[in-house]
Amino acid sequence: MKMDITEDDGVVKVGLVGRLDTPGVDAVETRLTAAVCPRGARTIVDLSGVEFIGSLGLRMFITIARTLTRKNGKIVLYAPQPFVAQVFETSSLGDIIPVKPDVTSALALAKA
Amino acid sequence: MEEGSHTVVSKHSTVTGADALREDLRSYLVVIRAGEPIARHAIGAQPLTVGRDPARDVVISDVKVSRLHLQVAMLGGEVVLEDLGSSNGTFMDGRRLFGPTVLPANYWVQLGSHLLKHERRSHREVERELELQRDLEKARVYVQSLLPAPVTDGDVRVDWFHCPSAALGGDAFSYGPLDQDHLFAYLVDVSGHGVEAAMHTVSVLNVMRQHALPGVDFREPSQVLEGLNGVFPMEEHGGLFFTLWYGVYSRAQRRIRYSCAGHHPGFLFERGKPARGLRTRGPMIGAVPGQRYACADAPVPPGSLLYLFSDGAFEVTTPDGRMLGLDDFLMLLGGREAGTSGEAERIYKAVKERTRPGPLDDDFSVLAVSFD
Repeated sequence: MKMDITEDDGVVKVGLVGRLDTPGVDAVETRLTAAVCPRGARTIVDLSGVEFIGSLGLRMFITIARTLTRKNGKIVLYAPQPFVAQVFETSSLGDIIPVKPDVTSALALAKA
Repeated sequence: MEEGSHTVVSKHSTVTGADALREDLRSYLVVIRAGEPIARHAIGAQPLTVGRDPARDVVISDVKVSRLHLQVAMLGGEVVLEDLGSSNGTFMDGRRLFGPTVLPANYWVQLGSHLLKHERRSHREVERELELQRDLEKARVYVQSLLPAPVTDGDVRVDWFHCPSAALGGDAFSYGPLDQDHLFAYLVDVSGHGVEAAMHTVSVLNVMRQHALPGVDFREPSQVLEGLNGVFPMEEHGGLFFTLWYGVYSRAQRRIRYSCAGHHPGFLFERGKPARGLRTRGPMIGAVPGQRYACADAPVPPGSLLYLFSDGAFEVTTPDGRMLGLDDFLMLLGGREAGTSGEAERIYKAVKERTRPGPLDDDFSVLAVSFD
């Protein structure tokens, strides 16, 4: 699992590439949480490079989202691949964390 | 071992200065599959043979391991292994090994999809690890004891198969009568697997067994899900949530009412008709405080079959690295042997045949419910 984190105009942009299975989540969760949660960042996450997500990946995003909400921050996921989008639909993740089709709409929501 | 008399690809000191002071340390050969140690063999004066053949000292069930693949021996205080002309080779640091090679402590070689690692441990450390494994086995047996026995006769029969991906899993299920008319069935899948998920699963199973949800009518699926959601908020349970499919069948009406929390559909097969997915939309239990869950219902004609299964049954990887999916899995259901005893295990074996060697990536649970 690879992750890169950049910041632009007050929004933290996270790019993930690989599988969000158990080892994948282990590889990124601590760093991602540390990068966005303490300061309640407005965050967008590019999922176009994520080919798989399991329950621990969902748990990671939900936990981060709840922490950010408490700190007036926000997280928006975008561009999920079809398999990941299906997992989001089955789990109704979109009811908990906004999922957008592209970076433009994700940025707009993160800045709102 | 004399250098120059035969090829030695690598030679490292296997015993550090600190180790040398610990006379109770022994060398062990640990067999590792999918990151998990599955066997440990003491290395002594007598060489250990390693291969696929059951007659070997160390048996590795892997199609890429030869029947007699290599041998390992203690020579002059060092662990030396030698590939015995295997078809697919033995590799250290990506290099194929030929001839006797020293295997230093904490180094490993790869054969097929398995690793063989040299560990130096005291007898006490090994005993502690064995004790932990025995405790995990006891815990696994306890969790297994909470699952109901298959039902092989009567108007509603249930066959199932369950295989955790680790020693303990996060999947569980149950079924049984609520009263003379109503039968319930559910499948729960806690996020993750292993000890943490299994402990949470046991909590859910016990709440459901004891009907410990005040004010909830267990004949009403929505109420059950909302009751569980109130009792298991993820912040109070180590960040864990679970998905759930819960259904209640009425014999008198021949209908099933069901409600889902973040779970894929259960599938109802009627003879001569395409499978029908039974699902309602809603998030995982524990994720959204105060969530209201929808309920739906469907007729169950005579001869129908209902399949409930965890996502570990279909989110599997083929030997060439391709992900199978729900559609691939559905093709294994409702066939000629549908509704017969042992069907769930046959489904498991069919899935295993299509996946890469080693344990499945996630816990596997399948229930097959037959209705007369």
